Amino acid sequence: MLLPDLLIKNAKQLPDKAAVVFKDEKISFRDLDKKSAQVAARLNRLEIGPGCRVAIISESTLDSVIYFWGILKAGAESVDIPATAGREMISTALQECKPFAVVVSNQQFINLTSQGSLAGFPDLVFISDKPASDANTTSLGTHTLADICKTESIENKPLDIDENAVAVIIYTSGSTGQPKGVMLSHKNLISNVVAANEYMNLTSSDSILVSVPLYFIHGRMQLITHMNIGGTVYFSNGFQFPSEVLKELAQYKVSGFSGVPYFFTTLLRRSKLSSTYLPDLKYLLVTGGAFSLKEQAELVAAQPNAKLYMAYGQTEASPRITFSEHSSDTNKDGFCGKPLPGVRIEILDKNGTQVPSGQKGEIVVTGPNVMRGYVSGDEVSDGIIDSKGRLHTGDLGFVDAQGQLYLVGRLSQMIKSAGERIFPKEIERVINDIQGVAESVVMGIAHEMLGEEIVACIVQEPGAKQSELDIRASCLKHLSFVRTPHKIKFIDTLPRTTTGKIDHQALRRLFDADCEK
Amino acid sequence: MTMGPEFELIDYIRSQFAPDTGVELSATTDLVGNGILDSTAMMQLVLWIEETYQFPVELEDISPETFGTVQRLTEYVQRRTAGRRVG
Repeated sequence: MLLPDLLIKNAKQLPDKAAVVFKDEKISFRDLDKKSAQVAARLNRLEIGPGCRVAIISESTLDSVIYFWGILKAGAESVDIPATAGREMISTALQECKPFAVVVSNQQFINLTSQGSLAGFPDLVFISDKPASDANTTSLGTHTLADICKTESIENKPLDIDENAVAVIIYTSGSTGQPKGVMLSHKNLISNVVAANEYMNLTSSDSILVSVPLYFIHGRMQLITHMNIGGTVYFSNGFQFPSEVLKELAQYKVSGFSGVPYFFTTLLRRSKLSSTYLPDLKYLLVTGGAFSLKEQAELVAAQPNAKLYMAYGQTEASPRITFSEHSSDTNKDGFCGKPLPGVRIEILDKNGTQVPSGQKGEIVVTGPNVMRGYVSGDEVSDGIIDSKGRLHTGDLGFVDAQGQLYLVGRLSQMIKSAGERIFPKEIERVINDIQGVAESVVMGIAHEMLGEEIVACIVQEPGAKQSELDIRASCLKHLSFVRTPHKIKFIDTLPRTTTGKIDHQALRRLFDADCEK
Repeated sequence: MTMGPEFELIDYIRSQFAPDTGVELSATTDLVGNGILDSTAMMQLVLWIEETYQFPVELEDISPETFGTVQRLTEYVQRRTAGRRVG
């Protein structure tokens, strides 16, 4: 089975039902099927098909959803690049994955091209929102959905690819500081939504409010999950205003809401979640980071009629590895539950030997959800995929006698802040390029709302006098707000251990002292 | 010279969230629509307002009607601090 088969099935069985709903527009499964077929026809006419890539660098819009399904129906690979990534990061990803075309909003198109041509930016452009004027539609190589729907055929063409073909590439933070393009096949993604649904038992009567962007696997998976069951996806206007999200939950009468821990912490602290009766809400799904037992209890108390699920995973695992439902039995630190059906977990020691249950080690994963690889092709040389095809998560944990996973820490330096995966090198590269900076170390320190907060220790060159604000301003030119260090310490030298490695513990203590003040 | 909340808010938002991003920041700029405030930036702004102007931001006040532009925020801060000296 291929991903477009899910849409074609719903168009036959539930033609008039809303597939996707935005604040001011919506589309039925029938129309989504037709319009995405027209996008595929246009792409095929431009000789974009199997083996070709089309990048989506867009906030979530109805047209961007139609393009996504159109790209898949053309047999091509849809590449998600965060719209909020800076020009350089976007350019790096584009130069690596070499897309034949790009889907962008009008504003993003202007932002990316107004300061001169962007390396890697393709000539073929598909606009993902309604054009403010006809200016873009007449440009050579620029396409709009309105034009495509006027001229292209609505017939779905059979695809000559198999389920192992790459369907979606998601660019995410990599340990080297360069973005990593994670290649996921049709089989990877379908196996993961089907397996997760064995826990959740969602049906076509279910619906969800999506607040996370589609360029994160979390958002993309909700779209695919609901295409699998024939459920409606409602898109939130954004998470800037928690009370507005609460209103959307009530207004749309959705049965589900999923988010990163930060969303739920914010809803608990900054909205009237606990005093709002949401009779249609059946479940809440927390994914993308640790959610404390205290907050789990608060969330259950705030919405006692909704089940609380927690998923553990990563983009490289399409993304879910384990799934658990909150209960008094699961109310233990680090509890992640059992692996999804078909997914196998092993815990390895430093030598790569499997350890017995109860013993701590690195979590490695095997299963139909493990990615095809990175676009860069270095998943084996980087040790992410080993010779047995196992995915090394970089997370530390143990499995109990019942086969249930517990997370206890990280082997890698990955930081999770507001649900986003961030590697220090990505930020250190930006800081080290600032004039006057000799070297820097970026870390994540515990934060009540964000999970972890980005902080930086900076050694300046002799005579350099950059202020904290200067550094932050320089970072914000290249990084999103959540990736910009929230606290900065200027120090004379980086402390090192006796073996010459940077002493992160000593650096952390600098920020501990702050908290005690 | 004493600055009013509007200048302080513009100064803070520009330095913290939008330095040199090419977006013109005035009292009427749409802070969310123009991508200046994402969800985490919004919460930092809420905390800063609480700390700087010494009043708790009520839950229902974190809304587009109050936080949509600097102008609306200024009116909100002035309303909440009426009767005491601010800035």
